[in-house]
Amino acid sequence: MPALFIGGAGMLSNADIAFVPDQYFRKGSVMFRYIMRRILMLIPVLLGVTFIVFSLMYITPSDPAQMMLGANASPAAYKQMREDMGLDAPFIVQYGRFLFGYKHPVFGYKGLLFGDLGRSYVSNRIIFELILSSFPNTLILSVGALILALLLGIPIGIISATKPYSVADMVFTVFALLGASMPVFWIAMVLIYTFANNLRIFPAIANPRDFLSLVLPIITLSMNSMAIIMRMTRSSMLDVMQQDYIRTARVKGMDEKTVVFKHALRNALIPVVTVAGLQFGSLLGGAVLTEKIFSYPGLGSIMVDAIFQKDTPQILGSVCFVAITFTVINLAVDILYGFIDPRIKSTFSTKKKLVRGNQ
Amino acid sequence: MDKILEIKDLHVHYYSNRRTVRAVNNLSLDMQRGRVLGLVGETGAGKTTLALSILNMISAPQGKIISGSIRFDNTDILGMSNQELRELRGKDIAMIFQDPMTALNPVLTIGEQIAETIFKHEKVSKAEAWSKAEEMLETVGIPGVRAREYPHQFSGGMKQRVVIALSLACNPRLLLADEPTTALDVTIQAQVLDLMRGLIKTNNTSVLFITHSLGLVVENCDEVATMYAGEVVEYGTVKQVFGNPLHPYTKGLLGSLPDYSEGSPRLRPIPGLMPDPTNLPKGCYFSPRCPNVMPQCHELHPENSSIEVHLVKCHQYQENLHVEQSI
Repeated sequence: MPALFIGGAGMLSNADIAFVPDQYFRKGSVMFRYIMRRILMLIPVLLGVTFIVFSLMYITPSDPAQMMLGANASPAAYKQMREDMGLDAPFIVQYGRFLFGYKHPVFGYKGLLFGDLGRSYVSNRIIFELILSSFPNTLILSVGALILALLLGIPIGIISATKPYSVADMVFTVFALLGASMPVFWIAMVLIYTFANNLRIFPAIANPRDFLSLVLPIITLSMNSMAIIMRMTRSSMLDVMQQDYIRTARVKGMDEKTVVFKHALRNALIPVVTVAGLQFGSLLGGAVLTEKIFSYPGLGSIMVDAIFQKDTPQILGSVCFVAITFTVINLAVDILYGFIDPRIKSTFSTKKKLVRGNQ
Repeated sequence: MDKILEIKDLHVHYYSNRRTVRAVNNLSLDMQRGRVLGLVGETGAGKTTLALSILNMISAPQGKIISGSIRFDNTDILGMSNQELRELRGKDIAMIFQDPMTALNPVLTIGEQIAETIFKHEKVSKAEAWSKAEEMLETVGIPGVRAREYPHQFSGGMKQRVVIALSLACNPRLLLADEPTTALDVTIQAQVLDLMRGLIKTNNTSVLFITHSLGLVVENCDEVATMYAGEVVEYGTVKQVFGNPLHPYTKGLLGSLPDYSEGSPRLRPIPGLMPDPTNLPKGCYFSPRCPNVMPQCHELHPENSSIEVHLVKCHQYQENLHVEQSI
């Protein structure tokens, strides 16, 4: 039986070893290969997304040729226009052109894969130029809302979970219920009425270059997500605090702060990260209403306008762009998982263990 | 003899739905320094509650230590501040849990989990704590380099060895082992017990060994206490209790063990179930199941009777301590 070395001076001088996990991003490391694999898996997902978006647009009863010509066009001109726009081709050919490009002096474009869908039928502006110029504005709003939701949602969730059924917990629960059930447009109206109309603290019209004007739309947008993140953190924390390893940490003599933040929070954050990722996606989409109400020049406003004007290529471009962004965000969330939960990383590891202990 | 732990008249209750679960009732128990005390009893007898009480870790508000005293090395544990308790836990008293699969934090490396305990309780740098953690792992037969791995990368038996390394990391004076091998298969069980026995002997650690396996008690313990419905009904050395069981419940437990010799009788399990801890019987808690029940058993709760250090809580022995010789 080997003797115990407890109490003896440190015989191994591994001064460089602190409590840090190994490097994640070495080439060939488990994490690196996991990320590469996930990026490869993105390709079929994106193809599927574009296919669905294109199919949906195809079956909607809107006729761009009719729109271009107006109601009084002759049948011959109409037929010619359909040919020019490539609308007479079979569905699959049209989808192919949508991805790989369409050659035509007026209506031609390089295709989605090359980031070009031509010009808008309505404004005649280059579609992706419009999207890329307005997307940062939407991003400012969504990121701001997400940060606000996380900054308030997670700490409040932790407070609620560490003192369940206390007065504070009850108050936060009511607040979360309100946040989750209030519709965005209504929150926006109330905020505008109170803070812009009556108190005159914040402007009612938002503008990406004026921070003060962003406060109301960011609050509006984050309400829902904040409530969901708060509730998720609370229930996840409550669950984790019941686990055996929390009892182990207490038995080791760890103080409450270490137990909550080091042992419990990291485990509890796993589902919260998922929800936050999904929320970010819906924030990008949900910005539509908020942007409209605050007359904010974002992607949402462009999408709504395009839909009202039946501007097919603009709708396709915007929706595909949002869908791709959403997918990439979800990839980022999945990669983040690997850092939080080591078990997920090893699911993707193919290399066998280094050293085994004596059995 | 030198007592490391003295529990006197301990009562622990749990509250749920306006009902009171009397988990530990008027329990008194002493532990000698450097000895291994086996605590046996059915599921629900209050064994784990007792162990958690020793660490003053009965979770409020559901559970509460109602009265009694627990003295560890002549200091009162129940009167300690939270700060003092945190210094006590993990350093002077350590605990091993039943299920190694869930006892380790899945998102921290095992080295981190051991080193953090050492860092908390001993005056060492983080690097020293880490190398000590590696040494502890080597001691339980796990290569030190594996300290950087996570719990899911180990098998069940190895995880329990990690837990043992963790609990013995600060060289505790008292180890509470709560069914440390129940979740393991028999061969791994033997390895883990061998390991524990060796480490305990080298360090002169006192151990409260909670189990429901009588075989393990005979092999590993010096003294044994039988627990029933939250109280100790019999206490003595392993030789006394197993050689000459006095309490009908202990006798019943031993009668439930299979005997493989030729022509041995059928197993004699104890009929009935343990009483509802929210509604314990008036007299002796074992009276509804007792084969030797007497009229006073239903009325009066028995006190301890002792023959030297052999204690028993049963009316049979109340008047004449030597009756058992003729039984």
